[in-house]
Amino acid sequence: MDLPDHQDIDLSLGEAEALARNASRGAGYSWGQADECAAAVRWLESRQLPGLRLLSERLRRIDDAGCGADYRACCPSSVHADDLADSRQLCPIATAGLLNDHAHLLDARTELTRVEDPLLLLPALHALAEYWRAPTGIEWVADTTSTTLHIAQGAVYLASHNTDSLLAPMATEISIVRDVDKTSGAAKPLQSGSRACISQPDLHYLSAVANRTRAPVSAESRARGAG
Amino acid sequence: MSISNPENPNAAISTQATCRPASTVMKLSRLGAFHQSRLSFMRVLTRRLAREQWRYQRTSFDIDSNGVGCAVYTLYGPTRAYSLVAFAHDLADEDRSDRVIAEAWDATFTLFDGVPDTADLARLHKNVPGQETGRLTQSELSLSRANRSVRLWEQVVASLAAGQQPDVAQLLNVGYLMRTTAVYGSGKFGAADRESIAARPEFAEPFQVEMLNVYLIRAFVLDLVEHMASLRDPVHATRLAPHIARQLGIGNSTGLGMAPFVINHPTLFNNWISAREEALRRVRCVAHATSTELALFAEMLERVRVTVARWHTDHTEQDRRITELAGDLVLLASEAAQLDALSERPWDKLYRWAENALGIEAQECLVSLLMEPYPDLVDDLPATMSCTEPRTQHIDGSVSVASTRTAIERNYAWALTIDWTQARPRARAWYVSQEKLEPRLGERHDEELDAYEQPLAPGQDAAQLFRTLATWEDNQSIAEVLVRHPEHRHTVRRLQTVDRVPYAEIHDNTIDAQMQPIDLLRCKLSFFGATQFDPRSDRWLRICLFAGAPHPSELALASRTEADQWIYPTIKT
Repeated sequence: MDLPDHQDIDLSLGEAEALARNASRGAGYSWGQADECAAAVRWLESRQLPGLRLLSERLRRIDDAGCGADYRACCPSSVHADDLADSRQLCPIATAGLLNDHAHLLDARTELTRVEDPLLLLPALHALAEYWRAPTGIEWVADTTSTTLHIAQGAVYLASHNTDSLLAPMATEISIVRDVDKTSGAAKPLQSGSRACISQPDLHYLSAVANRTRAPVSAESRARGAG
Repeated sequence: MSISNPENPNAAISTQATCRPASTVMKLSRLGAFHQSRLSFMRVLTRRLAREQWRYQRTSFDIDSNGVGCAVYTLYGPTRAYSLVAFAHDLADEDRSDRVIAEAWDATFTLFDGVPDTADLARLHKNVPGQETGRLTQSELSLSRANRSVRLWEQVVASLAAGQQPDVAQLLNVGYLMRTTAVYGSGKFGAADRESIAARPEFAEPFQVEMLNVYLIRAFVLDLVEHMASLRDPVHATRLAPHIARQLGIGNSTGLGMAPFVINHPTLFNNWISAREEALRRVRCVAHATSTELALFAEMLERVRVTVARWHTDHTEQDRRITELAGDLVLLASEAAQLDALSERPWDKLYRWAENALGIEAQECLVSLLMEPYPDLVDDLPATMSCTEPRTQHIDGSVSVASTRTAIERNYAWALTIDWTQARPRARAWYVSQEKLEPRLGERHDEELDAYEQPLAPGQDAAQLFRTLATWEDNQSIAEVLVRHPEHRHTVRRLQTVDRVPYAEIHDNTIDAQMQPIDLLRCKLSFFGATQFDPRSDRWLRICLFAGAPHPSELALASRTEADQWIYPTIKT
């Protein structure tokens, strides 16, 4: 796969996960969502997909909007078709949590609209495939291009030849399909990896956001020695 | 159904007996009274190294007269080799600190996966001495550092240089010549992730990388002190007598940074405690003990009394507990002496007596001692103590509100009795400081910490979730609740984990005004196999690792017993 070069700094997957967790929390996600965000980033990086880069871009947009990660403003209120076709821009982390939490209620085909950073949904698709014990596919449209992936027996297959929309900041239409025909398309499996990569600017940015979870030193804490 | 013990057919164990309840075991006061045992990770390591005949080699040793240079120690196992790469430094006394946060050390280390070549060593020389400021790669498994025990180091070097052995009593009183201030593994600072090596048999049990790292540091420290003595007086210098060298361990200073681990890894923690409780259960089910087993228990009890006699601390409460423990062990010896081969379920009888007659320190010491005569009953358990599950489990959103309430009541009854509106139950807050990047415990009502609080108070969180659920209908799903309340996601996930296994959760309030963080530290360190717990405050302590263990150069000749029971001092010393 010909992805833009993002491989500047080598991190362990544990470091990537910890950075993602603290940065997500620093950006305003709840601790539970931050855990899920971190797990998603680790999952993507371990498949040589740029999870840290996506998260960095996502948190920058949240910062730029100045609204924090306001959960209720960017997550469907249920998995009913009307709610999933919400006209708002949906947060992929919150939406992934919603889909996983409601796995028992999802239909064989689930349609969503206007989900930001759709690649961050992919780990949730993996969880759904495990829950259903069935090959599960996802297709999204961004601008005029589409991306099709499916997950079967833990492996991720990318069917589309055009990877431009793989890292799209927003998908206008998304379909999740249970029991997808895994023979369709010229799907090729994504390679797994054991390390994560991040650019220097993204590392600095995520570290700075992560630092918001940490308390500035105070005279009281200094005086107490704090261990 | 029973499990037979090939060493003692009478020791067939019933699966009917039950383990101790979590409400007993998981109290902080009891967890903070745990001792090393056959399941401890240090002993698991030395048993394996001896059993598999790992070959030891001092691959290189290039240290100059200022004590500066590099050394490499390699252990060759059945399929792989691992090397400790040690860098020795010339550290000014004023720069020596026990704190995890420092910038210079007497020695710095990494455990290398294989045998490093020249290019590897050059790379490591640029990155290991700086510790957190350097970067490791997937070829490295750990990062650590150690400082000398200054006064003792100089005395030992001076004695050896003069051709004399150092004062043994003084050496044993301290127990080590160097102490580590941090041992990082599992992906820290770029090192290999635990997952990438977890399938290797030698790392099947927890913390084997870290234990191997410290074990080889001990070999390096012995070589270094003898080397410095020989440089000081090449003519007269002598080596440390083997029986003295054997008694030296590696010290360790451990603070709050380690405390959150047992809260942050509930499934792993459960596996540790479950193994220990299962070991106790199996031994308590032994129908009759042989005279050999009774004698071995008595011997280990006598030897642990030597350990306790050598255990010194300035910490008032721990000192009181050591005194009580020493007295209790006399009572225990007397009671155990009444057991014989005809006694019915002797160990169960002894344990039940201890529950009423002894303090918690002695009760938990007994739990460890009971395993000693029964390697064939308990030595399979360390293999169950790792955890392969990912840290973040998926939430089952289909669970009803009613079931969730019941699960909270089942697992957090103790937390629901606490009035969380009062100041004292919420007196503390766990946070990470910008300055030190380390977990700390602050006083919530004196400092502005709420915005930075880490999710390390599961009891408080469970009570808050319980309160939220009061406004929801029984038949609604927890998924519906979480749409409205994402702030409870980590609590629901934890609850569903805790509800599946018996010992994942501490049954105490981890932010209470009276909470003792050293209980968390001691519990974890006891599973490492640490001894000589020496609290320096309520939030950090010193310990000793590997004191008494055969050195790696001695492993090839060590008997199975010697490679395992070294942690108990011999009675004659």
